[in-house]
Amino acid sequence: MSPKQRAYYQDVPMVPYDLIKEGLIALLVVLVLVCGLAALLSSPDEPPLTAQQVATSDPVTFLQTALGELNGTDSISTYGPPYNNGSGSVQSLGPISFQRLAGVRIPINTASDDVLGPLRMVAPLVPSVGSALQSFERAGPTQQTTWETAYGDALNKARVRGQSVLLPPGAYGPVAPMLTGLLNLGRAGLLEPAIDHSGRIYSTDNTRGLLFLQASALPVLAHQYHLVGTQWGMMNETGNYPGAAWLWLYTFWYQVPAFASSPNADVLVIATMGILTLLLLLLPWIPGLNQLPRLLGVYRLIWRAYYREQAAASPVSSGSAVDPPAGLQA
Amino acid sequence: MKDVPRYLHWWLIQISVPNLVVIGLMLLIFALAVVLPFPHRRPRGGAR
Amino acid sequence: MNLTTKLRRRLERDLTLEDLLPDELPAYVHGYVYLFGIATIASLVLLIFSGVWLAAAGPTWWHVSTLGHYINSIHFWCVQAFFFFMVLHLWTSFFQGAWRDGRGATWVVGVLCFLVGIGTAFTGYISQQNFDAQWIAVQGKDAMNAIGVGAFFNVLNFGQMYGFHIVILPVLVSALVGLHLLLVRIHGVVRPYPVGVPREDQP
Repeated sequence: MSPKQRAYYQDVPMVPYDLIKEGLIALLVVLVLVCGLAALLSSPDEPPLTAQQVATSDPVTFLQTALGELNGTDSISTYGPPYNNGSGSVQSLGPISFQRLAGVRIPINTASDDVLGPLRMVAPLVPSVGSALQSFERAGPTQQTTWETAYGDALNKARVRGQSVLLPPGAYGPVAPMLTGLLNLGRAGLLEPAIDHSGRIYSTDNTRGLLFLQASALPVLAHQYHLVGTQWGMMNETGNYPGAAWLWLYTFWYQVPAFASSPNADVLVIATMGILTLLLLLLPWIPGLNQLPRLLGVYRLIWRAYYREQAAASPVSSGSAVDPPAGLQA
Repeated sequence: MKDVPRYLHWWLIQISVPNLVVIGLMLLIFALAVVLPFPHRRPRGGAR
Repeated sequence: MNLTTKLRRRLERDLTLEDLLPDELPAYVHGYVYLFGIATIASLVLLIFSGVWLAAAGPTWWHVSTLGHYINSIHFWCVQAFFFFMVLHLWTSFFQGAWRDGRGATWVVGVLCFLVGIGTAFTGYISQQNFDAQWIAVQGKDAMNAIGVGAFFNVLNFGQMYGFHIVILPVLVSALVGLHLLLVRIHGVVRPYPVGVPREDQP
């Protein structure tokens, strides 16, 4: 035993102990526990939402999202760093915006990445999409905006019959066949591959596909699963399973209106949790807080058997046997 | 079609039954671990 | 100054084999609360075993294979067990004031284990390639972007998150847990709070 430990345990009775046996028993007990739980309760695995599902079951939402990406009005086009220079979702902590400071590092141009690029891939297969695309790209920005606005207004009054999205008559120019082409690409299950591969055939980066889904149908589904921020969603899980209960304090702040309604909610919550985490880390050195265990007295219950034995062993100088050697007190 | 657990609401708190069970078990097992007597081992004497 | 000699002498002095592999413990180490730490480690070991199995079979396997789903279920319940026992161990250490008598570093490393564990779980959830993963990713990105790290830690990038989850963070957690254990073995188990009247000849 090291001199330090020998001095620390100076007048403490020692009892036999088998470290390895205890470790093996713990391993066995936890193994039986988790194997049993896994066999009885399994684990959640809700299939992912796909653009194909959105295109098939909610084509109007699909088209509205696609239009927003084309004319730069949707939530991703206006988000801000790291995707672009918008300001729709830029957060600051007082005068500092770490988000702005970090800059645009994952540049996303939703019009070209999510609409025009995929349509160029479709063009050789569907000539009408190809010619619509050419007409659109030859037109000036003002004309493009006129078509887009008319199409957007019409979508608000669209009716779905079978596979078709029926719009009132209007001057939509090439925008209507273009976005119908994109809808068909979605229905074929090919939108995510078209927008995720970004010129590289083997990609494991799902950034664009996921952002498209977020701008369309993902939040509605999340709400049904109770996974939204204001539903303590961070703690929850799909299916009848426990979630990340250890995130309770992190998600708590999103239930407080002052945080939840702020445009800087995320950075405020992180700052708050950062301070609380520092308090937890530095607890041993924080006066007052580091005395809490002593004040609360749960230790008396934990060590009651030892205190009893020590009191019985040395009734005259009660407590002396449990004091650490001089110089080692906290 | 969607398998969603039951949620309990009280004031700001919304908690799923599975999460409540886990947290309840944590408190129960901690309390039991503190109060239940532990099998005794015979001491050897002071540190060698 | 020979660094090797210095380190060896330090270890010879502070971490004998008897300290590392004790066959006796102070009598006050007596109670079920002292089992939460080892239960946490057992959960971590099984997390790693089940995780290695899942990694060896690739990220799609558990979605298409019954055995794969079972191994994933073990991994899922190991996560629950890991945090369950770790929090109980944290409560125990708190109520015991276990940072006393020079054990502040042990406490700090323990809290870091907790924090990095949360990060590991986060990247694991994101690596599931199912609806839960999609939602956690698109939500998490707002927080990451808000603090300026979203481009460097892109939660929407499966490859990056998977790499963090199966390599970087498990290595970090294991290193921190190893350091935590070493510190416990070096310092020994904290003594109970003093109770009763102090002797007159002691401060």
